[in-house]
Amino acid sequence: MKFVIYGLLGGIVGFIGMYLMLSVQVEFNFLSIAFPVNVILTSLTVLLLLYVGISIIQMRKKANAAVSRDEEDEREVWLYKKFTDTNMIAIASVIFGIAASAISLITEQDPWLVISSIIVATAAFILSIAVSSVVNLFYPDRELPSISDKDYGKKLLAASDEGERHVMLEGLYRTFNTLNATLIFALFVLIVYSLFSGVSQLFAIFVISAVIIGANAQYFLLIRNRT
Amino acid sequence: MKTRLKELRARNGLNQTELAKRAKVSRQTISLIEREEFIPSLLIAVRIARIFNEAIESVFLFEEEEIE
Repeated sequence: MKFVIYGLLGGIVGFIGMYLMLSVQVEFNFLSIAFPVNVILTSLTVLLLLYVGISIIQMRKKANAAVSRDEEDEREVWLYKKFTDTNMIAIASVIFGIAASAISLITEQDPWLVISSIIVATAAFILSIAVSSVVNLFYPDRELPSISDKDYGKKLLAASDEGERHVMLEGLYRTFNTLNATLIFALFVLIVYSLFSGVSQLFAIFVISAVIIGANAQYFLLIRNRT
Repeated sequence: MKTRLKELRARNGLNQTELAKRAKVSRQTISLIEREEFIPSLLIAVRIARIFNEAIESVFLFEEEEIE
């Protein structure tokens, strides 16, 4: 219920915000800024990839370095935090890479930019898989699943202990609620944008609606059947 | 729930990673229990109590109103 209220509030704020924005400049043409946005996104992805690459090397070094008993916990905490930070950056790089590729393809940019964007997006995807596999270095004695395994999520959950599952549950449930509210907000933004700009966003509205319904149906059916 | 885990670890000269290995859990789980952010299952509580040669109720301390 909470997320619906937040979603509606977000929608109202979004409506007012978009109304004000569009009343100032209704005829906004993205094509005029597509090239610099594309270059910025691609460059940003490259920078994030550099961070991810350097982090992987740092984690490998740290995991293999000999430490005293006093430093053991400190190292574990460092590795855990670095791993989660790197994962977050890797996911961001994949999204920026996909966005850059989408802009270059949709707005028909120069071939060199299209190719660069796609290469960078592919590298981001590969590196994000490499980040996930680094965790096996930290815990060689644990039977953690490989990212290429079928049902990786299920297997990872099964390989985690109760404390780790507790942390994941807390994080995922909060994220689920935030995502629900944010997607409802996005729907309102797209509706208002369509109305005021005259550029139909109906396809995106259908896709987001399907994602919200699908994700919620999956969650509620899962908990409903665990009586 | 309060816990004497940190105190018992210090008394036995164990760090979190070592205790985690002995209790067959992750260091993160030990850390969560120590910070009193997570109540472990009975199985893990028994394992931890055994490592320190203590009774469960002397490692994990419940307020009277929590049990009632």
